[in-house]
Amino acid sequence: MSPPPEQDRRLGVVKPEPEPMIKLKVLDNEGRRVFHTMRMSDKLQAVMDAYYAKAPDVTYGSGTFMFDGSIRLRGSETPAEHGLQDDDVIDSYEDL
Amino acid sequence: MDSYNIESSNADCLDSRPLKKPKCEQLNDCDLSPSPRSSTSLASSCNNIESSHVYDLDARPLKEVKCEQMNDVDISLSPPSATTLPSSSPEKDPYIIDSIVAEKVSCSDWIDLESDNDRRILLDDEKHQNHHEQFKVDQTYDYLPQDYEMTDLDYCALMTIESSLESDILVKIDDIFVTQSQLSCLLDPKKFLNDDVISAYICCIKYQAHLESRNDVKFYFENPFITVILKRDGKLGVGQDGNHITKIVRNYLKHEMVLIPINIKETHWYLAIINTQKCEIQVLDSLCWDSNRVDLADTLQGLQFHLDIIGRQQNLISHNWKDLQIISWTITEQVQEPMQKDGYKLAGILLCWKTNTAQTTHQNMSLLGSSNDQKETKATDSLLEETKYQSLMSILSKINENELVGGLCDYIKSINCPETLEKVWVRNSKPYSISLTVR
Repeated sequence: MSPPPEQDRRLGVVKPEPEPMIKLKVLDNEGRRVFHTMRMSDKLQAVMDAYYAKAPDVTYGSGTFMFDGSIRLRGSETPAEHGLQDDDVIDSYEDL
Repeated sequence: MDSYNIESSNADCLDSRPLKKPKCEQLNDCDLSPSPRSSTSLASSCNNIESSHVYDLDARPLKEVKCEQMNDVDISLSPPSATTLPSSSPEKDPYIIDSIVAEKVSCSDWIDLESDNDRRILLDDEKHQNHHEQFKVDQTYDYLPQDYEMTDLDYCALMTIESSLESDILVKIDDIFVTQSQLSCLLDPKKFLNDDVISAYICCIKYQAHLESRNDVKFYFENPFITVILKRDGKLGVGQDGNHITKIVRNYLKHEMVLIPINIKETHWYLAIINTQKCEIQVLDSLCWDSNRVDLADTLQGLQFHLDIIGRQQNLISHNWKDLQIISWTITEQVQEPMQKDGYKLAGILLCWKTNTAQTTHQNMSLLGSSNDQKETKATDSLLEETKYQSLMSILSKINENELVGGLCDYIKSINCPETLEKVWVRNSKPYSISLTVR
């Protein structure tokens, strides 16, 4: 929780740069592309939720989200943890 | 749903066993020598464990309270009963034989044949790898067993699976986490084999192959995730989104054999081997469904798309592949007769694999390691009661009667908790009413 701005001024604290937003792309087995823009420190669950919203036939919570062909993404993790960058592709597929 | 599940009697399994040899010959083009079979002298004693296992489960009402319960249930009561219960034969196992897992086991056979189970190699290697030192080599699988015989280690692993919560991570090998609910597919023939289970096993195979470190043939073990993506690319084509996959495929070119696990959705797994020297796709399918190779075709098509991209790029690395037109290579079936097997052995292997770093197995293994040292078994941590119980069971299967009596005496003597000593340990109503406390 960041303190309110006026408190910043009073304490002379320099307000940190706003965290850059990154755009992530989820690509699934059906060829669907779902884009989601988020902060590096946001939970990846957000992008997953965005995908589930666009793919109503996929059961919520099912499937696997994978980055770079080897890194399994979990909703509780953040893009920063895995070094995700702008325009990165997340592969998604149903459970086998 | 169940139609995929071709059930066979155990006799069928046994019939298919000799298949290993011919398979080896077929694959001899990669200079493999059959390795000595591992002995499983404990096989006979497993019957006892099997029966006590059932007994144990019946006696335990709720998983959630297992730890608390195990504190109260006297440990000494149940294990002796294992010796008195009529031993049920493994053939009468309540679970029917799972066809899917056979595929994976067949993969393992294939790998095993090329490997030499020399433990010394492993031990040497361990010295260089700090994170393995905490394991006692005797109590983990440091090689992949070549037979389906269940050992006491395997049965302990099964008990761990049965008694764990669904969300418990029981296997953690490299980056692969496998939870109890995912592992349970190995125990239930009606469930589909989970891709994470496959991945974990592939990690074991990789590890083993790494130890063998053969220079003549370079293997690449692909994981199921990439296969799925390749299949997708084969169906949908590759856009500009496929760069990371192209990178992975580029890495294939450094290898001579690429092993790809292929899944027929909700049906079956089989293994395709890209033999780059013979320009051949060799298929190992335990069910020999040679008419169902659509998934393989799609996967190869996806692979071809990526190879085309690599071919168009200027910076093509030098490679030993005969050509890059993989789609034109012949597909040969390597397995001529269907094989069937359940998933019990694999469950045991995964949990007891030496690089499994999941916490539960840690405790389990370290306690198993104390099997000859009874004093250690009375570890005070109450959370370990469950594994303590299991370790005791494994001891029982190993030792003869005299040792058992002696060991039990030692064990009882080593207990110095007053509460435990006051408790009734043995109670019997036939033919006479008897109850004994330790004191």
